[in-house]
Amino acid sequence: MTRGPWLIALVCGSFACGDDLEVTLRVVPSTGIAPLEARLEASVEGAKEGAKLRYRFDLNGDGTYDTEPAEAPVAEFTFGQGPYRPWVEVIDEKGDTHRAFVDITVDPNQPPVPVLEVAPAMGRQPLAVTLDSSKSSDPEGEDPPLEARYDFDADGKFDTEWAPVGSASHVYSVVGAHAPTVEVRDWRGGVASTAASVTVLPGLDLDADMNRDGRISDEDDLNEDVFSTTSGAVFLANVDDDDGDGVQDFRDDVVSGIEDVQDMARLMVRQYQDLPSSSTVRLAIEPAAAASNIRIFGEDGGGNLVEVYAPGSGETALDAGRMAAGDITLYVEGLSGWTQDWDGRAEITLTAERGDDGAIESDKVAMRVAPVIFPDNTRPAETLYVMEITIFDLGPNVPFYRGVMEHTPSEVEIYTVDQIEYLGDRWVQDNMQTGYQVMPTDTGMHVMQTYLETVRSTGDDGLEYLVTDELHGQDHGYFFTGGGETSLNYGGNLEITPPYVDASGTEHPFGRILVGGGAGGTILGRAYEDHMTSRQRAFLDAQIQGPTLELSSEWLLVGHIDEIFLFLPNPSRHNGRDFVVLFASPMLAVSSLEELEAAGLSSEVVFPGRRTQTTVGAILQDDAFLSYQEAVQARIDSVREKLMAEMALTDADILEVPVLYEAHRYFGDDYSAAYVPGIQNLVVLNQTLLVPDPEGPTQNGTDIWQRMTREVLEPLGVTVHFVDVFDSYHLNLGEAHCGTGVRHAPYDAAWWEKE
Amino acid sequence: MRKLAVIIPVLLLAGQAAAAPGAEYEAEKARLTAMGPRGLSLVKARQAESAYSESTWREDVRFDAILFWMERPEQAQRAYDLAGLKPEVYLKKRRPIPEATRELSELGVAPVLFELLLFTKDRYPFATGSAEERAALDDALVVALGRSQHPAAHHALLDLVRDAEQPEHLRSLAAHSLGVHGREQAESTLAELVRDSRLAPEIRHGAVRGLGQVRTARSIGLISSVLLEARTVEMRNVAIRALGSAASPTVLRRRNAPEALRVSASDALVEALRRPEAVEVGDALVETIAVVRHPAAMQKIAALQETELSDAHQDLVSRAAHRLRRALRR
Repeated sequence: MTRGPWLIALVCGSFACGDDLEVTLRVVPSTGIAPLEARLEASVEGAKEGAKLRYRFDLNGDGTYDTEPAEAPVAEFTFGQGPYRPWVEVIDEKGDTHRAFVDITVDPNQPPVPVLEVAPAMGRQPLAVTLDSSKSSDPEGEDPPLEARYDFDADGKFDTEWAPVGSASHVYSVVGAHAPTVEVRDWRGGVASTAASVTVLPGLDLDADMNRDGRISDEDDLNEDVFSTTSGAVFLANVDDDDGDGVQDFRDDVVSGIEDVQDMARLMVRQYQDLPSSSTVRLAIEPAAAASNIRIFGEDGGGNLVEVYAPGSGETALDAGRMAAGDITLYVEGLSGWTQDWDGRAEITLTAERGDDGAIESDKVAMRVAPVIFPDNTRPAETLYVMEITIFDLGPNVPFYRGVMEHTPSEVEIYTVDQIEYLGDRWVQDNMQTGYQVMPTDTGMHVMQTYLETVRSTGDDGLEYLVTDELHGQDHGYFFTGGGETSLNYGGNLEITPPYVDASGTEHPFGRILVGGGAGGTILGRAYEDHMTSRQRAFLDAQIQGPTLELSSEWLLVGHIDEIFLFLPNPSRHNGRDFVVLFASPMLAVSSLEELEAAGLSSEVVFPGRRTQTTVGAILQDDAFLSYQEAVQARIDSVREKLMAEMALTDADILEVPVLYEAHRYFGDDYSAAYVPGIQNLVVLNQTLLVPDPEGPTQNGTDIWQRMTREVLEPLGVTVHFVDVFDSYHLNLGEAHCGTGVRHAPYDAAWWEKE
Repeated sequence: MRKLAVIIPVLLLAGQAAAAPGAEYEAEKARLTAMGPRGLSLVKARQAESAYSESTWREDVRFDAILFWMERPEQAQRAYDLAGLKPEVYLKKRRPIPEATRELSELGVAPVLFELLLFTKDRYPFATGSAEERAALDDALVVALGRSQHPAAHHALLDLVRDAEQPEHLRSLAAHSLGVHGREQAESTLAELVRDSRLAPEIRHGAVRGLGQVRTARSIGLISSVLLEARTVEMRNVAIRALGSAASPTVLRRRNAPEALRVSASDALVEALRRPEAVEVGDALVETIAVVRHPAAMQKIAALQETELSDAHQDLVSRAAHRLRRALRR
């Protein structure tokens, strides 16, 4: 701003001036543009030294004094546009008044001069246009810079917030003339707007739900060729069975009803009005892995959905005439999820070679099939799968089942697996891992429950058919990567960590898949190696919760990591986390027995009333057994250390319960199994825990192992219920967790927003 | 009375010279049992003369078994009715494989173990008679013998170790069970087996494991020598684990064993850790140093960390130090 010279206006009017005082009023600055912040300064000549004068101002010259009489000879005022004559009145010690005024004219603020350039101003749909307002100017040339906002579709609603003048992008999909508007403002509030013209000619436009709002709209034309955390359409592997024919829906080339359609992601081929019917239109899918794992359906013109793209070919032809007539909706299903051979990404390109001028146009969208996500134990429990066995020959589990029925929270559905159908095969955990796929739709998130079928082969009669023949159905699908040639493939050997940040700072928002296996040999030093099969491991590695982390379990009889630890919810958050890890500890059990011995309770019975009952003293007299506990503890500690290092855990995150182990012999090999019902092998149902009853020795009428377990778990804010697993599960080499499956709620986080 | 040992077999086996050992035994048992109280007296008298020496134990245990049948037939019969060998039981297990070691050990039928081992195993009433069921019975017999207190168990197990007709894994298990049985002669016997280069490695591994159950200064010294002289990774692994068993702090404390045993084992483990080949048996060393958890090892491992080592070796030593520190805190 340019400051003007002093303007001294006078003076003493004819009103009540004192005899010898001369008052002068000036304004600083004396000129400028509205709104003008100025200072009025009065000065007086002829007053006696030390005279006490008081001043009051009529700031805008409207004849009314705006300030009270005060000793300060100054006042501040913001002038709007126009001429002003402010006054000052000086009151001397006698009460006489002396006045002066000054004239000032404030110039008006000139609105900015908006300029809107669009490029290209014309083109075929979808037309990506850059709108540029950077050439807009301020007539006063003042700082700070101008700001602009855009209304792309001239509907009177601005589509962007105020921002410094510059460029913005928008994709126009609707054929016709458009008049985008820019509004520019300067810092004084001066506003001006201008419009430009954009003409969208009919053209090739392939749309998908790129912004994942469940709808396909013009907004989806932005960044449509890239799948990232902010853009890209999602589809599902169509592994459920909507028509109940026992076959996964992706395996046939028909659409099985509206439910099947809902499992598919939509693609929209926009109407291309002036596309000659003689044009050649092709829809291509890349890369090759995607081309082999995608099927696309479309209407046949008679209202039926038929296969328009068969997996494998890589491309298909579309009818130019139909494209000219109207929009075409296509439906995409995946034949596979993420695998080691395919990360699930697909680029679908629509290409048209016009029949008139031979011009070639294309449009591409990026999509990705959903991974299978396996929720961890800390997620809300929805369904508990368990078998009730009452038939004697099948080995009844009545006490266990009764305990489950009694203590399962009401919000959890109990799914009772039929004992006859599966001939008493009670190892539900071994045969499946519950997970889900999810994609956004216009009615919300569409979740397909997706199991990993982890077969425990029994011949023809066991639970290996539970998933495929019974659970498989509408919105319940499954993946199966191969047979159960090793018990390390079973579901009990697959645990999910809760979400965490690892030692390197990497976030695992869906946790990480842990599997058991290794080459560490047996506890007694026999060379031995066993792992989950490479096919299943590779499948798990490929998921968003991968790569898997292998923890030593090869030394265990069944070979599952749930034989030694489990993740639990932790409502208390005493350690600052929502979870803790519960480990079995053989040395904790030995210590507890020695305490009983020291208390003179060596004859206390362990496993009272059971066929295998023994005493505290008998256990402690078995040197081989005791030294074995120390070796097992060391192996468990190795697992614990590895898990702590990976998850950046501290000892505060780990809890221990007493569990003894024993060696079982097979052809000279020694494998460990829980000698005591494995307490840590429990069932997590929200804040309720169904815990294997250890049936330990008592002190003062209390089972010491139950007491120790309660002392560890109850401070977490969970409820502990002991359930009888001894004959029906424990002696058959499993516990409560092994004999159940729990479906937990999906994570709140969207997988597509994560790296 | 001394003559009975000769008289009974001559008396009972007359006319059956060509019969198989099992059949001979069964006939003998049947006849003595049929004799009623007189048979019982005869057998008891014969048992009173049993020395269970290397030369007599086979005869001695015959009468132990017959006497057991005479006095506790129902308990004896349970050895032939092992639930863990029944398909209707083991097929319900998550690893549907027959197994009966604990069950047989806890039956308290040591004499019948010899009967099975020497005479009747081939006639065991298996449901299917599969190789798995037969192997499971063998394993169970060997483990139960080792855990028994029977004075002839040592000879029986040693016979098994020496029997080239038996599978190596069973001979290895028998060697291990010798140590578990833990009679005085076990230490010397196992020392011989460990040094016997004619034996298959697997059998010698079993002998080293057996030494790990003896827990004497000599046995720990022997295992330490094996560890430091072994040429194979597997033997070193076995020796490391055996040292952990031998120097189990809980067992040694409960036995009021001298501190020197643990120190000796700990020193051997740290020495093994010092050697470049330690990285080949790293996990076993780290875990076993934590098992033995002798405080003096901490300083020695800290000194090792100051020496020039390969990266992998340095990492291993650091892991061992970390685990030992945590084990000492536990």
